[in-house]
Amino acid sequence: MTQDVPADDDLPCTQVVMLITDYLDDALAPADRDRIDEHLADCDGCTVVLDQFRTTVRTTGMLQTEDLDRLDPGTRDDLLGVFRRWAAERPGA
Amino acid sequence: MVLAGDAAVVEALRRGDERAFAEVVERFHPMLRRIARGYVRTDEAVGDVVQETWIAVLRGIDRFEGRSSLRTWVVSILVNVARSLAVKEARTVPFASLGPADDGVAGFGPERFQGPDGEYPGHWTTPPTPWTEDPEASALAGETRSVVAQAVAALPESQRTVITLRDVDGWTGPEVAAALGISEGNQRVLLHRARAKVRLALDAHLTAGEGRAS
Ligand SMILES: [Zn+2]
Repeated sequence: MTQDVPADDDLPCTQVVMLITDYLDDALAPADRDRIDEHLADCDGCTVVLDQFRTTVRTTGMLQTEDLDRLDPGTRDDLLGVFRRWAAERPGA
Repeated sequence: MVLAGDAAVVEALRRGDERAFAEVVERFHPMLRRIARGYVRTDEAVGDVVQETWIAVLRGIDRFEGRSSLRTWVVSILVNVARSLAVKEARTVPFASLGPADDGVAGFGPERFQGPDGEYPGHWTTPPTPWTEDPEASALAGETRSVVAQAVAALPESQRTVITLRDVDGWTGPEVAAALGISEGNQRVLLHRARAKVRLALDAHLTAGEGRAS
C-alpha cells in the first residue's frame, strides 16, 4: 500500500506536539511517522519541542528512586521482622 | 548497594540471608508502593498490599525458577494481591480513567498557535525558544534534580506513577501497562501529560535568568 502524502498536506504543529511521546515510543504507524519526520524537517518550533522532550526524559532519568520515595525505617524494621519469622519457620532452618 | 544478579539474590534469600532481603526491599519497595497505589486508594491499604506481597514472595521463593526477572515476578505477585484486595473492597481501579484533559497543548497555551482563521491553522505563532543551558551539565545537575523531583512530586498520582516507572525505573511501555492494568495507549497519554509538565518546569527553571519562560 502506498500512501501519497502531498507536500502541502498540512499537519498542524498542535498535532505534532501531542504525538511526541508516541513518536519517541515508536508507537505510530509508519505513514504517520513519515509525516511527522517530514514536518520536523521544515518546522523549527516542533524540532525544539522534540529536543526538549528528549532532554526532559534524560533529565528525569537522573533522579533516583530515593529522590521520590523513601523507605521509612519503621516499615523496613517491620519487614525484617517478617523475614526473621519466615526464616525461623523454614524447614531445615 | 550491591546489585547482585537475580540468581545470587534468590539463592541468598533461600539461605535466610537477612542482608540480602534488606537490599531487595530497599530496591523494590518504593516501586511496589507506586504500583499498589494504582489499585487501592488509602495509604493503609497500600501498606497492606505491599506487606502481603513480601510475605507471598518469601513463601513462594522456592518456586521462583528464573524464567522471568525477579522484578517481574515480584510485581506479578503484587498485582495479584492488589487485585484481590481491590475486588474485596469493590473499588474501581483508580488508573482506569485518564482524568480530565489538561489545558493547552502539552503545556503550551492555545495562544501559542494560530487559530482556525489563521493562514496556517494550528501552526506556531510563538514557537518555543531552544534551551541554551544543558540541564544535565554538572554545574546545574544538583539544582535541576530538585526542580525535576518537585515537578514529578506535584503530578497527579497516575501520571507520577507512569513517569517514574518509565523514565526513572526504566520500564518499557508494555511492562507499565501490564503492571497497572491499563492499555498501552492510556499509559502513553499519562506519560505524555507527565513529561509535558516536567518539561514546563525545566523550561521555567532554565529561562528564569532570561526573564521569560518559552
Ligand atoms: Zn510544527
